[in-house]
Amino acid sequence: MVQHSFGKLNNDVVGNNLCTACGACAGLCPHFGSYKDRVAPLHECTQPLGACEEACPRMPSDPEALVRAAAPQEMITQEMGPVRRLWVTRAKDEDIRNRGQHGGTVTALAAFALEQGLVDAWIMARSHDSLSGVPTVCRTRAQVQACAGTKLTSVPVVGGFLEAAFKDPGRFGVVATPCQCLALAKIKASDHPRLRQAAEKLALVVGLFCGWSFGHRELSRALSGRVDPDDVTGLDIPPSRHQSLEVFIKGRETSVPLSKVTGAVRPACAYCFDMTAEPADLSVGSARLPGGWDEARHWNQTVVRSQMGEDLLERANAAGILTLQEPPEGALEKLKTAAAGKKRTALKNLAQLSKNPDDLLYLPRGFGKSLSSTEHGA
Amino acid sequence: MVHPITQESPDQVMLLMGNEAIARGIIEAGASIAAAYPGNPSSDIVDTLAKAAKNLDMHVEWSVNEKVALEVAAAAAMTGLRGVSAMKQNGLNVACDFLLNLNLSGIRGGLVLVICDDPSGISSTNEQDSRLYAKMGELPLLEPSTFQEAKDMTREAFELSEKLGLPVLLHSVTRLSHARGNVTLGPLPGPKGKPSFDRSRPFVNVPAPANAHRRLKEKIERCRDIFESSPRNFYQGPERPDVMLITTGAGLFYSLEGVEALGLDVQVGILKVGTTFPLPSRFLLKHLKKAQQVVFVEEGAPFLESGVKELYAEHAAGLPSISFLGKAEGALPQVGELNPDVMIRLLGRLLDCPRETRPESYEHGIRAAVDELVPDRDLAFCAGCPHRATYWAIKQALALDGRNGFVCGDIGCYGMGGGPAGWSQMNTMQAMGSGAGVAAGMGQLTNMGLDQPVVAICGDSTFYHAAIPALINARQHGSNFLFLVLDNDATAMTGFQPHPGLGTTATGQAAPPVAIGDLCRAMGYPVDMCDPYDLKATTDAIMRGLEHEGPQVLILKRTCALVAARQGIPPGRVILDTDRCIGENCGCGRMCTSAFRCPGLGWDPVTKTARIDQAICTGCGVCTRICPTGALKTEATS
Repeated sequence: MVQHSFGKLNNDVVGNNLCTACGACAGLCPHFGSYKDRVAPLHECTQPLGACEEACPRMPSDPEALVRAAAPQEMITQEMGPVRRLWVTRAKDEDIRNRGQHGGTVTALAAFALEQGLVDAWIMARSHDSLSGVPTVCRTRAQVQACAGTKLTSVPVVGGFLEAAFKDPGRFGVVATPCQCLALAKIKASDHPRLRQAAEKLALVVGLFCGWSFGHRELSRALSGRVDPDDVTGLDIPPSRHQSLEVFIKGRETSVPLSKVTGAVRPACAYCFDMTAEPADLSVGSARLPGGWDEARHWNQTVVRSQMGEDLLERANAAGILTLQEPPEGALEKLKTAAAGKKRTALKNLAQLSKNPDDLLYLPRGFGKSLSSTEHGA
Repeated sequence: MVHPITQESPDQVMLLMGNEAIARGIIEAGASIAAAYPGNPSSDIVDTLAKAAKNLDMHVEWSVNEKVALEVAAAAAMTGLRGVSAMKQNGLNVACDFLLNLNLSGIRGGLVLVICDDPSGISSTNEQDSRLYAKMGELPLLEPSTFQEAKDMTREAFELSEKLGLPVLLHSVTRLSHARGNVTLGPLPGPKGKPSFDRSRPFVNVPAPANAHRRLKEKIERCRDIFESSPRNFYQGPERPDVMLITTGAGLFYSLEGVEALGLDVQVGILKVGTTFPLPSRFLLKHLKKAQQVVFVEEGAPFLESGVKELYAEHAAGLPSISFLGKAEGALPQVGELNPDVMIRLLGRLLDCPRETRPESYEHGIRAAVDELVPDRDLAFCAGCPHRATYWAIKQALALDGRNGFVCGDIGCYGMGGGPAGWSQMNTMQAMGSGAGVAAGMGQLTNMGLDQPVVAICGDSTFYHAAIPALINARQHGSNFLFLVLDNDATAMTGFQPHPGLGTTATGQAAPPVAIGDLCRAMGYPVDMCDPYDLKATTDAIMRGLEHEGPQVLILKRTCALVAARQGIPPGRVILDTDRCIGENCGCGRMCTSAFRCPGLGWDPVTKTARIDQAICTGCGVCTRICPTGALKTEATS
């Protein structure tokens, strides 16, 4: 029996709670829609092999194969994909650092890439309200800066990219979470004519480290009573030993025990194998420094993955946009350990969901088998 | 110009629809007030009077609902004049609280309540036999069978009402109200008296309603006496019939057709009863004496049937043994309309002269031809209907909200939203205003663990009719739901009668409009408004409403496409850029014709692109907003 792509996404992805709300399907097809951090099937469609199925990061694919071309074989790691270099980075511009999350590396790089003409526009997540974001096409430095700061709820950025790619000329960069990076990589690799049309417009992908994200509605509910969700201006999650969520409320900061909000984490995140946004040109996350969180919160760590990523970082460094520092000793190993931990959890959860240890649903059979089975947490 | 229905030409024969014949009867009776709320099959009665009103010394109004309509009409009868109201069966349910008190308090002038039942529920949400109200309210009931009777019995109903000091019910059904026949006109009335209210004779049943009830019993017995000699009851047929058909209302024609078709006029007699409550006992007993086999032929419930059987049981000692057949025995269908075939089959069986009414082979042939030639067509909204856009937005919003929200619905064109026309988005539908009332209850359950968002929808006319008390109730008790008013500037389903929001009356007089938004704000609701043609804004507004805690109102305002066309609002023109249409391909999959399905859109199997039927398309442009490639676009028309 032929199952239509719509039915597969509806049953296997949405029905299994695997949907990451990247918005790929909604950006490709009016039979799907997105709102805040939700993507939903709207109207039945009977395409046998639709672009939605090809692009969806939770329909079967081989993520390792997708990243293999980014770097020479010896630079591919089991835990976190291609790694050319690891840097501790931050924006030189203090204003960007103040607005951005941690060191403001992504904002500074994005603005630089625009000004250098490396891309014509960025697709980034801009705050919609205090706890949710919308994908936004940024063609100016000011627009990029307006998107500074991490959104801890999903924003359908891939949908935003596709919508722009089908409508507007030019080459786009996308700032994306790991699941979104996977969708973008699948779009790039696909032979589907619609996806090829979009892939031609995709110039650069900056990935964001991600442990998991919150459901907007659930986070709002979890925070209410502690803080007024409407007053929240930003969120941050310090290293795991702090076990807290930092909530910024109009200039002041408060801390909510992580245990009070873990119930608001998207169920889909439990099945995600990627912490460091492997299919990207550069991946950026929060740093871990010897001076602890008070120091690290002003820095990022940046993984250079592709040649293009490397060129961008070098040019930004040469132009005095970023401060680059060697990472502290053992930083890469710590990162790998954390990334491997997320992979193992995801594989365990997927096997549980499929009720078959060999069936990893959207991941190929045997995926992650070679991960060492010791050690824990960053 | 003088409306033909008001002409003073006695004995002239006019071809009239049953409802027009009733309207002419009202005119000949000299009624001073005619008030109604539209509802088919009754609407044409007051529609006809409204059109003729300028030639009549009569106040004609479309009232806010049936209860108010009957109250307005009763005012004429409380001041010595004549009043009339007309309503469908559901309307009588709305009006019955007033009616079942007015029966006790009585009246001084003449009050006639015309009730048009809709067997099979062809244009209704239910099927009910309203005649049972006559028995419950102990009110005289007249059932005309012919078009002439429709007019004449209406006039006679006023005379009876005045004679008894009681409202009189006149009962019609779709096949009488909506069919046409010849009617000989009677004279028009002379000048009417001056209304005056006599304070010494108040219409108040307390403190002793039982006393008033006793007086009602006396009146109804006087009425029975009057009915004994009514020319509306007669027998035709052989002195000793093999079968006696006892019939009333539209049943008379089915009876006549059955007898004629089988040539049974020497074996079958017809006892036609036009006054079915209270039953004329002496008249009936006289004719029952010659019967051996009785068949009851009436639309709706076994009403006449049970009355006659009751009478027979009381007087069995003096009567021959009679075998009765009717709905109670299942000899005639207990639901749905009667038709001549039913009679022909039954009589053929009883009198052993079977006649095939429709050969089976013919029926199979027809079915095969229909399957082959006629495309499947669902009930659908008109091209350009704002309700299609509204339901599209509701569907999107509820899906994106993701909590399995549901919609408590109401009565109107948008009632089709329960089916494919509205993608099954409407999930309850009972009485007028019930969407709001049911949602008011559902909105309480959200405090008890019902974790699905509750939406109610209601049209503009329905809003005034019955939603307001429910909304007040919901506000008082803090029910949590989103109330959507589908304001299309029309009482569209029943034929575009004016309602209180439109700034006009039944007779075209200017009236101060009563704004729905103002009423809702006065009740304390936050009110948002948007144009359903703007799908994105509407979907977003519904999404906001679903996320908002607490009750709120969203008015979706867009004039009915049929009204807009009548008003000459210049339509746009939707055109197709065939180069951009990707048709069945991925990324669209014929969104416009497979999902949206406006009747103005078609599919060209040769070019494999959409096709616009310019004869049907209103140019509303909603499809241009669902087209993913911009192939459908609107161009201005001069």
